[in-house]
This record gives sequence, C-alpha cells and structure tokens, in this order.
Amino acid sequence: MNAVEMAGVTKTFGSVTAVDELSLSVPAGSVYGFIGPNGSGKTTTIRMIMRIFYPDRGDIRVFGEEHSQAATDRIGYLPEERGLYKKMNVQDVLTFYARLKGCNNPKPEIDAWLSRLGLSDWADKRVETLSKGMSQKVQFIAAVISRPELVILDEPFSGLDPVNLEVLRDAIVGLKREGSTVIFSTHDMSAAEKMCDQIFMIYKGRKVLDGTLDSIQDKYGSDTIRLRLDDAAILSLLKGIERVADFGKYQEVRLTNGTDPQQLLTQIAGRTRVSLFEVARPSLHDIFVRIAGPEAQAS
Amino acid sequence: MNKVLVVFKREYLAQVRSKSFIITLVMMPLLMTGSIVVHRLVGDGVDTRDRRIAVVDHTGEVFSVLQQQAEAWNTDEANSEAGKRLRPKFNLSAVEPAADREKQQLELSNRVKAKDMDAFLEIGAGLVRSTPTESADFVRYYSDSPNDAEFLRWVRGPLNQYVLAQRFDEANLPVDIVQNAIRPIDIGNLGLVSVDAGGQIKEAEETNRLTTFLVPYGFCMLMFMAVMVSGPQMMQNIIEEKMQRIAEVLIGSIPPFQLMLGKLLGVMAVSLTLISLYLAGGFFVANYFDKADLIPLSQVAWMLVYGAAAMLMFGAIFSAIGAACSEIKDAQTLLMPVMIIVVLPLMLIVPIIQAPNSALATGISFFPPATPMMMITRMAVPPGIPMWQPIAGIPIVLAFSALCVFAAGRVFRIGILIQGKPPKISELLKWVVRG
Repeated sequence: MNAVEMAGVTKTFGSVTAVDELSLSVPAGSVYGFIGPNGSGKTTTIRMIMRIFYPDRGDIRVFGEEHSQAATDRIGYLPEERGLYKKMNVQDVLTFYARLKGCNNPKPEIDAWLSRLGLSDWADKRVETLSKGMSQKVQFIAAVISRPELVILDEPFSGLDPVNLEVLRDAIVGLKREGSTVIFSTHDMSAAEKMCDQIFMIYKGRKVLDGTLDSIQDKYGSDTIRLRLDDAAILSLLKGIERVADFGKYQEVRLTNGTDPQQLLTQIAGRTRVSLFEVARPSLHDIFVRIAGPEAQAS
Repeated sequence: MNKVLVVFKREYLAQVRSKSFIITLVMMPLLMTGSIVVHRLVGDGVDTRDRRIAVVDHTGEVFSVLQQQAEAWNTDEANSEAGKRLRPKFNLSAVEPAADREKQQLELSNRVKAKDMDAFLEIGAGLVRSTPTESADFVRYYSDSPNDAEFLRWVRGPLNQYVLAQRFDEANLPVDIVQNAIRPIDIGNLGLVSVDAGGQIKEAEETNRLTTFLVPYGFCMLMFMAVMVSGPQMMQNIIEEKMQRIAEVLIGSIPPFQLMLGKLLGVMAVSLTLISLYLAGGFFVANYFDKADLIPLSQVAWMLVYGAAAMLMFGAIFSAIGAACSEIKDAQTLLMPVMIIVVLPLMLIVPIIQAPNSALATGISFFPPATPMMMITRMAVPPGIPMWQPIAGIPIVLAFSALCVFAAGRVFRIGILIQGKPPKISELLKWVVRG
C-alpha cells in the first residue's frame, strides 16, 4: 500500500517546466525525504500532492484515490515559510487549525505538543513575538495536531538550532512510530541520511535518485576514501584521483574508475604521515554535489 | 459546515478586535454627544469683545436712535450672566459725512485696517423717505471680518423699526395699523393627522426639516459605514493570508468556497453588530430628546435585513478582490470601480431625501448595488414609501448577491493560491466564466 503515487506528472508555469515526467511512490508508514537544489521543483511537487496545484499531465493518487480537492483531514501540511496569523496567540492559532481539521477538543493535544517542544510558556504570546525557530515549531504542531495519516513538511528544519533540530527530528520519528507516513523536503543531508527510509532527489524538475540510502550508495560504489594526512598537498601529485575535498581536519578523495585503494595507500605512505585511511561509500552530501555541483553543471 | 463556522468565528473575532472596528465604536459616543458638545462650544465661543462701529449718517437722525438702542442693549441684563457678557457691546461713534464720499470711505477703511475700529456703517440720506430715491436709499456695512455677524444681526431690528415708522408717518399712515396689517406670514410645516390606538384623532406633529433630513441621512451613512468598516478589512485579511502562506494551509483543510462563505458570514455578523450598536446608541440619544419615534422598530428591522444583504453583496466582491491580489496596493486598483458603485448613492442623497418618491429615487432603489442604502434612506423620510418597494427589493438584492457570491467564489478559488502579479479585470472575468 502506497500513501502517495505519482505517475508521469508534469507541471509548467508559463515557459518554465517546474516538474517534468515525474513518477514516485511513497510507501505507507515510511519516512520519505525530498532533496534537491533550490528551484529544482521540490515545493511544486509537494503542492501538487497537496492538490494546491493541479498537474498539467499525469496522475497523482493519495491513499489510492485521485482526490479532487485539496481539503482533506487525512493530510497535515507545513508550508515552506510562515503560514501563521501574526496577530493571534499561539494557543488560539493552533486551536483554529485543529478545529479546521475536524478536532473538536484539541486543547489537551495542543498542551501536550507545546510542552513536548518546549513552548508551554509561549502559549498565550502572539505569533509575531516568536523567534523564527519557535514559529517553525508552532507551525509543525499545526501540521500534526490532528494526527493525520500523511504529514507533508516543506523544509521543517530550516532556521533551527541543533537542539531544536533534534527535538523536531524526534517528533518526526515519533509520528512514524505511531503509524503516520511522513514526507519532508530538506537541505540537511545528514538529517535525510539518518531519518529517511527512502530518499528522492529531484534536479531541474526530473527525478535523479529514488530509493533507500543503501541502494543509492551502492550505485555509486566504494570509490571514496577518507584520509587524515600531515601534508595534504601531496594528494595533487598523485595519479588515480578524480577529486579532492579538503575539509581541513580531514580530506575526502574520490578515485577514478579502476584505481586500487591499496596502491594509493602505498604511494601516500611513502610521502607523508597517515593517521587515518578509510575506504567508504560516498555520503549523500557527496552524491548531491556530484549530481548538482558545478562540475556536473559544466559537463 | 462545521469548518465554515470555525472560519466564521475566527474572522468575526479578528475583525471586532481590529483597530478599525474599535475606532468606529469609539466614534459612536463621540457622535452621540458630539452635536451637544459642538453646540455648547459654539455657544460659549461667541466673541464678546466690544465692537467699535463708526456710523456715517447722511440722514442726520438715525444715528441718535441707534446710539440710544445700543446703550439699552449694552446695559440689558439678558446679554450678560453673572457679570460675564454673553453678547458683545456695541460702541457707536458718529462720523460727519464728508463732501467726497469715496475719500471718506477709504479713510474709514484704513482706520478699520489699523484696528482703530471694527467696522463702519453708512446710511443713505433717502432711507427714511417713503418714496425710494435710487442714489440715497441705502445702508452699507463695511468691515474686514465678513463672518462676524454680531452687529449686523443686531442693527437690523432697531434700524427697521425706526425707519419704517418714519416712512409710514411721512405717508400719513397710522403706524400701529400698518404694522399689524403687514405682519409676516408664518407657514407651519406639519405631518399628517392620524388616529391613535384609542381611536382618538392624533394631532399632526410639526415636522422639523432638520430631523427629516438628518435621520434618513444618518441611516444611509450607517449602512455605508457598516459595509466600509468590515469589507476592506476582510480583503486585507485575505491578502495577509496569501502573503503569509496561511492560505495554503487553509486550502489544505477546507474547500475554497466554504472558506469564503465562513468569511462572508463573519463580516455580515460584524456589520450587523456595528449597526445594532449604533442604532442602540441613536435610540438612546433620540429617547433622551424625546424623539424616539424617529427610529421606529420596523425601520430597525429593515436596516438589519438590508445591512446583511449589502454586506453579503459587497463582501463577496471584496473577498474576490482580496483573493486575486498579492499586495494591498494591487487591490486598490481593482477596488476603484467597486468604490464608485458603493459611493454613487451617497452622491444622490440630497435630491433623493428631498423627493423620496420621485422616478429617480424609485428607479435607483432597484439598481441592486444601491438598493440597500436607497431603500433604507427613503423609508426614513416621513411618511415613507409604498410597502411593496422594500419587499420587492429583497429578492432582487438576494438574487444579485447570489450572483456576486457565485462569481466571487470562482475568482476566490483560483486567486487564493496565485502569487505575484495581480490579474487584469479581463482575466478575472475569464475565471468567472470558465470556473
């Protein structure tokens, strides 16, 4: 059973094709991550799943039905930015959204969420007095307050500090545990790596990655080596290296096809001191950059 | 339907807590006491300093009479209260007429300019004669404060009294008899005689031109205000919802038409609240002045019915404009034609109150956007209009409102989610037609 299925969906705005022949399926009960550069079509895709936009072509099914209008109590939605009445207080705005989703007595649920996300003291403050991180959390509560079967979060982590990020991440994991399907888009690759059952990458309106993290990494093979060297400059003298990313504390090297890591280690060991040498699969971050980085754009 | 009520409640509360609504409410007691306060202020505001008037008396006899009368006025106790003057004193001084009149006038004018005196009065030599002489038959008052009418208002009485008596005397007419014979005719302006509940004939009441104008005018303005306070506010709220991306969340929870309906019901309740409060205030004031019958209960009921209809009609249009625009300034362009239609009845208000049953007044009452305001205004002018007219007006307004709600619903559904450049009116019409 899939919570969401899209087949051959295309959406254009004027002469710009925002989403091009996109197909995907989100298994029920999974956490599904959308990644992709800015302007690649993530938000448009989400809005089409929400039925805020209608596709020009293609088929979108949510819970197996082709629903005809946006309004449904089965989906909770956190839009990309804002989405709260500035002049209302936190408690009222959450009550309003909960009632709109058909909850008749949302107070206990709201109180529970506010305390869980550390916002209890802000319940009767106006939304406009909240910091960006706090209003992001309030907005998250608004999206999940009615315990929807499908939760769609457009960039839930933007503007959050590490503590709040963790709080929200736990909340999302909690939703999954309670049986909800979660779709979220993010620029935070490590969050996507750690949280998502499936990852979907869209680039220039087209699907470029779709699957579990393992299956994606397998596709890119074990061509990445993590190193810590006393003199990193020697890497530029060696053969068999396609790309060096120097993070200061350590370096990440991508090998050209057919290079043997063992041979590389021997070469390096002859020239400088090695304190770390690890054959690894590329990180999601690395894969992202390989697809959408300047080198990929140039080729 | 439950969701419509949720939206209704939020819109109502957001509006009655908004600044514009509160300001409108605060205005009410100000308006209630305003007329009294203004009257008091103006009453106290009479400039009571002495007026120095030079009199160039070509007759040689009028000045002494005026001076005598002025002294009587100056010492009259009715003109002061507890030692404080209520009306100014008049200090008259005679100026000998000179041979060169123009030169003398200039000289006196300069003295007025130099604040040496306040004004001068010139009385023609022929004034007291019973047969008019063209060149000498005049009284002229020269001053550089044309709005200060205190002296003019006073001098008319003694001057007329003396001069007319002289003329009659010269013509050998007995002054008493003539004055009785030419006493002015006063026409009483009354309503119609009716029978009261006990079967007794009730005397006709004197109509007051001021109240027969002000009451209908007040009803018209109240209706206008009720529409203009909540309609544009709702439009602004919708634009805010679009700008803050709240609209996306709302549309994810409630179908667009229901969302609009909830908002419309909200503003209808707001305007009915406003009308009720103002009518209650108006009734209170009218009752205080023993004029409660100026606001009959039937008129109040009609006001509420037509107020609700007007808000539904204009509210739908305002909501559509709000949904179509992403910024307040874009909305202003689209608002212009609507405002012209709303304001149109106000421009015709004077002729319509003067002749509430004219063809123009009746005709414009059946032009739906103007119907609520016009019917209410005309009904408030005694003795009112034929009963069939306001009754026939209701289905017409409701039909037109339904049309507005339908068209606005289509614009709203598309507009609420678009961002950026506002659509042209031709595009809006396309949305309405195609759906």
